[in-house]
Amino acid sequence: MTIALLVEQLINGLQQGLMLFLMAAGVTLVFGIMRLINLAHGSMFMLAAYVAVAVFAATDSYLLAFIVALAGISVLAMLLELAIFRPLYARGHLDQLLASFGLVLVFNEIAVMVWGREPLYLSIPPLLSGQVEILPGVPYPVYRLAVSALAIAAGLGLWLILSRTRLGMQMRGGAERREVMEAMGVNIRAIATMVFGIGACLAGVAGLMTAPIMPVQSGMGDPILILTLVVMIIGGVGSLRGALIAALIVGVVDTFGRILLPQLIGLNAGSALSNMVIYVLMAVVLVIRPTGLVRSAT
Amino acid sequence: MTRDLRWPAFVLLAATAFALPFIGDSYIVQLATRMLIFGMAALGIDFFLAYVGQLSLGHTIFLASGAYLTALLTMAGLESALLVWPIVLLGVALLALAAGMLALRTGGLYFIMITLAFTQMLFFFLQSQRGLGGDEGFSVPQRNTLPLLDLSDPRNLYLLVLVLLLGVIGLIAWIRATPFGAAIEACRDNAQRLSAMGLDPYGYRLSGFVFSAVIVGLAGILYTNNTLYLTPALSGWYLSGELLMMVILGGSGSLLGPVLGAALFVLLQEQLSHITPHWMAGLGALLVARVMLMKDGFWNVLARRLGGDDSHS
Amino acid sequence: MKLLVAIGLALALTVSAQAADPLKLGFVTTLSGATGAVGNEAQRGFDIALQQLGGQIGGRDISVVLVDDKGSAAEAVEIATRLVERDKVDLVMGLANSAVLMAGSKRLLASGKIVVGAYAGPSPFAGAGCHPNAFFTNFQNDQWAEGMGAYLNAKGVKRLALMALDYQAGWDHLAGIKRTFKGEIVSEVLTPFTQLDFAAEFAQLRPKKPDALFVFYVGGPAVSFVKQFTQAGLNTQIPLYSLDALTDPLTLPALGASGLGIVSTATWNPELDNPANKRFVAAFKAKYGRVPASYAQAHYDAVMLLDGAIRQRGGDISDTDAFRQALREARFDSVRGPFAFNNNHMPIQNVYVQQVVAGADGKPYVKLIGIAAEKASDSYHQDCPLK
Repeated sequence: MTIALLVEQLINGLQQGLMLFLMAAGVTLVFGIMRLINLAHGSMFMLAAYVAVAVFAATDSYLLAFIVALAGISVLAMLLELAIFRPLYARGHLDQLLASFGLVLVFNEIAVMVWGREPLYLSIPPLLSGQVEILPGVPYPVYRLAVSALAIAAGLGLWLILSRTRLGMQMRGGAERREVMEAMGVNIRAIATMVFGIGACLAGVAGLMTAPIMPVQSGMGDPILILTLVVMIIGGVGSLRGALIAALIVGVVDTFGRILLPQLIGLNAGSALSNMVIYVLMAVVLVIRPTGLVRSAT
Repeated sequence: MTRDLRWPAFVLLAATAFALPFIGDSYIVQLATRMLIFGMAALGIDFFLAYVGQLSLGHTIFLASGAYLTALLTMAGLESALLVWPIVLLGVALLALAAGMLALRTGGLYFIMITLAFTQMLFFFLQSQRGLGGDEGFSVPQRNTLPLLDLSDPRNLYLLVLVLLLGVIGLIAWIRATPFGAAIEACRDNAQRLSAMGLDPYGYRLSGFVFSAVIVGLAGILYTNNTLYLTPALSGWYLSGELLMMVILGGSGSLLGPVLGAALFVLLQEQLSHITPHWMAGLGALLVARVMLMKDGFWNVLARRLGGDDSHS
Repeated sequence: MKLLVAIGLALALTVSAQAADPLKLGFVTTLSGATGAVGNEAQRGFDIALQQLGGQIGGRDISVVLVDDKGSAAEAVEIATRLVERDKVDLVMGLANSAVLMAGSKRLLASGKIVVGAYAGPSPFAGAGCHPNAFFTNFQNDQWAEGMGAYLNAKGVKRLALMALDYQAGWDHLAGIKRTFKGEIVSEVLTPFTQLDFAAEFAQLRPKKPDALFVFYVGGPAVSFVKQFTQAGLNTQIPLYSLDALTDPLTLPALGASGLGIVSTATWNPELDNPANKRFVAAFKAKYGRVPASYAQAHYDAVMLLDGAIRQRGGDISDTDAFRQALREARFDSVRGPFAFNNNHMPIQNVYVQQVVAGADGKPYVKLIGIAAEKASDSYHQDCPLK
């Protein structure tokens, strides 16, 4: 493998990692603050993509599609928090898992009823189509670079909210010392609703970025949800920093596993093992560090 | 105020179950066989969930390995159930011991996810086996044989599954009454106290894990004998999720809850799909409604009505 | 005279009894779950056929027992039992999903039913495992890829790269192309169904500079693959060859312009110039507003095959041997052009070459450009003991 190819694959891996981080941030924030595990997060990813496709088809405007999808998905998530998740905070993981699994089934089927079973399409904005040469002899799609930039911007935005705003301070406080915050008169419930909205918005960004490179179809959130959970667990539940590190590791390990393993141990065994590689990674991390890479404040 | 009606209800259910092959056609018998097999698997998962207090998404490993081992031994020429089934159960127990030793280092959400990782790994492994048809699976030539009972008749297989299920229910009830069972439940409620008493909670959890895995493994053996066709979908997170749905539909922590939950789930899946191709939405909504509107599964709620104040007793 | 009247009466009674007693046809397909789009399209083709036949098959009234197999092999055995024992169907068709077909057909065939697999033609049924009562009307699974291998030889392709989904159908298609392609295979990659990002695979592929790339992708992964292939600029460097499924009318709208130029093989194309095909495509377009996909065509053809065979038997299929013989003769006008059953009950048919081009309205469509293999039979039939 040449150096140029190595660099290109590293970029591919990191880019996949950034996308996973956007997804994992929402799940891990919600868990950190409310101790709730939400499988319907993958549905937010899917619905944002569908709404964007529908709005774009109706208006021919990327900006409008972007805004409507993100606003819509955030509002939906906040409504779900109020109606479904709030009563589940006090329940065990099993009830939370299954109620949110039920929601996944419902949303997948709603998508089929509204938009049909055939995959839909969102084209790349003309401005972002084509390739640039990132290294001599290595053309790279402009869109993927733009997507990475957007993911980094979204991550920075989240960091700014958490570190520089009153809401962010209360969110971090809620995660670390919930009783103290409540004693100080902070409305943890309202914060939980906000966190759902922010998390869904990030998942929506991931969904929007994905729509032009992957098919928009029912169930598209399911595989990404599993990866998201893997990232959250490897990073240490509730830790944003852990989620970022884990997401980048998973992205890079998955990418290099896919290309190297079939070369090293043969096509059949290598392909099979590369499908498993992130699960092996998670199992190994948990056997060595049973609570993930980064210990969260709790 | 009233008499405890749970025993009469149980006897009535068991009597109906025994009468079924003599009144229903073989389609009903096959459907009921699948209900009982999934019921057994759900019971195994619930043993670990309710009494050891840990949620596992990985018990489909033992369903799949029980099923696949049975198929492979049968295809290698071992047909006698008396020979094959103990070997398979031993194999499943050893696998569970290894998986449990690794997984039980963690707890809570991490345990859920490490068991999920195991079942996904097995899924991808089975799916890559070209000799076994990859994801499309393979056909098993015949059922295992027993002296005196001809399993090639679906009615006989059904009755055998029913008797084994009742045996498992009896075994769980018996274990819970022993000091060993009490110690297992104690690690759920208060691991520190158990340690203070000089008992090792890890060992009890591990034993509980292996025991529950063996029950699920037995369900796997029966699954192969029932369908005579295996696919990798027997492993993986999706079936794990469905088995947990069965547990909570019926109710966790009781001996009949998971079994009746499985029966209800299979029936709903079957019936809803005749009504609409969007049956998954119905199933999903039911699941959300069950969690949101009922504090417990329908059997546990019913059991309380029938007389017992505590379905866990 | 009395005798003649009696015979006449008896005949009239038989005919009316037959007319009053509709033929029960079990139609098994996947209407829900991840591959539900396949079954929906299959049902459209089935409906068009029945509509054209006036609700009858072979002149007999028909009662359809439609079953959703959910793409689940686990339930296929029960479905088979139900069709045989409860619904008491006369014959079964559909079973597009290979796993459902293999899991369920054992029970159906054991009961003596005729099974008409309308889409998948798995290799276990093509060789030593062929069955007198099992018919496969669409193709033997490897047939498209074998045709493509022959076409690539003719095109002078020397260095070929391969990519496919990592499951049975993907393995079959790669095996098929390797069987007929004579040049060098420079790389081979398998990706799982869940993988929708191919950036890493493309980066590995580019420096290998193959003459051509052959891929097998369907459904969601097909859309991802084609869009990303174009976005990476590879479509201008490496000619892309595939099978009909990559660019069928279910996925083509989602590909947009990125599908342009892709060459694929198929055993049917909407443009084929024969009266049966024109009639089918026109009726489908009138009802659904687009050209049909091969799933619809395959099920349409399967119904037409049954129609021909049942008509040949005068509506009476109670003599299984005679009905089987009628099916083997396959007297119907296939929309595919020439069609005959081989000894293993898999089709002998043309493999066509087609390409995605921009239509007069600017929208991409799949244009018929030639024939890759004429009256091709599959490579397993010599192992089948049936004569």
